[in-house]
Amino acid sequence: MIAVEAITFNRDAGAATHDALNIRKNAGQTVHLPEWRRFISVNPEDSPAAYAIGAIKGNRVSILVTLSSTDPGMAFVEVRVEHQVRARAVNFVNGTTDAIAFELIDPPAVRGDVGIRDVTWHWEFRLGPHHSWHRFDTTRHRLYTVLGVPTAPWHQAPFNAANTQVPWTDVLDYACRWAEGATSADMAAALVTQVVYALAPSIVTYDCPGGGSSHYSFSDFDCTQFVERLRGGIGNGIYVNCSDCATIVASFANALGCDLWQSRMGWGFGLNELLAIGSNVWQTACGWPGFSYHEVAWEAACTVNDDVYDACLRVDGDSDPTAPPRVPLLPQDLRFGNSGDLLYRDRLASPAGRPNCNPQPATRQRRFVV
Amino acid sequence: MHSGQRQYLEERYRASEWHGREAAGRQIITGFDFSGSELSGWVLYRKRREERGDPPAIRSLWQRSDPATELLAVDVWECASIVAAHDQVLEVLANVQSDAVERHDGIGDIAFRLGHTMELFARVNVVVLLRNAGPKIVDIDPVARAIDALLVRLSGPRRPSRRR
Repeated sequence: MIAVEAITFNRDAGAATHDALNIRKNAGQTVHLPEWRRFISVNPEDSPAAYAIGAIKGNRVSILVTLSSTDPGMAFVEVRVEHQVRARAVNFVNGTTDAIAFELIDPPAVRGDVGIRDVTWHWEFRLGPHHSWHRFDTTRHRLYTVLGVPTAPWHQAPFNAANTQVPWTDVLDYACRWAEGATSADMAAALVTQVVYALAPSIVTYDCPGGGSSHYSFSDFDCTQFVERLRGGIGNGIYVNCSDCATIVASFANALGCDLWQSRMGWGFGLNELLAIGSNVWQTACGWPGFSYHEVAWEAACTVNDDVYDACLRVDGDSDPTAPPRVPLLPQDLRFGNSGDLLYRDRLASPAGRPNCNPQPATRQRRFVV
Repeated sequence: MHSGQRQYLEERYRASEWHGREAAGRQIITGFDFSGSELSGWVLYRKRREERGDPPAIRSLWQRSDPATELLAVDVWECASIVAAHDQVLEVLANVQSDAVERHDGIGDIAFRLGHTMELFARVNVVVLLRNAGPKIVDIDPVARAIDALLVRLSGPRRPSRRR
């Protein structure tokens, strides 16, 4: 009998050009290498691997597989997973093999878009080129595809148990579904923004009773509790503010290889009527005259010339954002702009408030994930 | 905190009137913690110490009946001094978007609130932020007063200094 003993997707922790990224499950749990182990890995989520399109490009991608055989007469066989793992010869010595490199035929990153796939691999062997293939084992894996190597707060190094900023599969489980099919960073960030806004009102809603205070992002990003909230748990409760939304969008999008910041505008400015996350009433946020500050997920240098993604509110998207009728517009990939440009600033801040609604790029950050 | 935001907050909340003012006759509080029995009618749902921040924080959630409906978030920062506590009050205000939060008297040494649903106060060197975290909105005044009373007991009257 032949069996698969172990499969390693992340062959080289120092690179992601020919193999999988460094990932961990969450703040408290790592992903063990090899990712798949006989008798231990059962379900796809027990064997996760993530690939970065931008790093892989056209490179060949391989995995390391260790096999065993209880047949003492079996020395050389060919092994494959039809359509998935390219066939190659293996040599058993004392009933086992070294960790052998197998090339993936259709690696996830080749598709070129964000995704998450649970795959079932049926391993086959044959005794030689003129023999038929025989199925001998089945393994299951969860394969994530992201656009590029995740950016801060996520880090690839050092790849050890103490580094909690290695990308979490708990985050990729959501981010890859939210941005499924995205082929560019702008598209992925926009999709994440849309889904976060659509989490309301049952999972999150704007913190009117608390004055719009931060429940998940002061001062680290409490991603553990946010994920618990996404899973139907209590988390840190139902309320979010702008900093929470900016942090969620930037952190989840950056896990996909986007390059967003959390950055503020201010200080103390009046608002146009808007739809705060979870609200279907056009009014200034919670009826307050204005914001002391506002924070969004922001590209590049977080200036007037850079684009914002705001999952916290929808603005009036028509030619006059200061008056009805209202055309809801979720700001995504929308330039901040100067007064009079009819871009993000004009749609968010009232005419009187616009002079105080200025980008504050010195505040840009990527909150540590806990 | 960004210097521009701090300047805005100091003006908006007239910090010169209260920042650094001594808490008359009170001692610095050390080792504050929740055991779970402090708030009558509320059960401690979860408590976590955050040591990464400066000052470190105690983040707690309190439930009444179903935690999915009635939930309070009570965050406590134990600061090294009264000045540091008042800095922390500004730091918390820097993470509150509404410009409708107002200062009020009657609780702590310095207090701010939004209606009866959000309260931020400092008592001696301890800063407390109370907020609703569940969809059923509750009046947090009684809880704020209970915590303040606890802090008053812990701070005790300051002992007169001995002169040689």
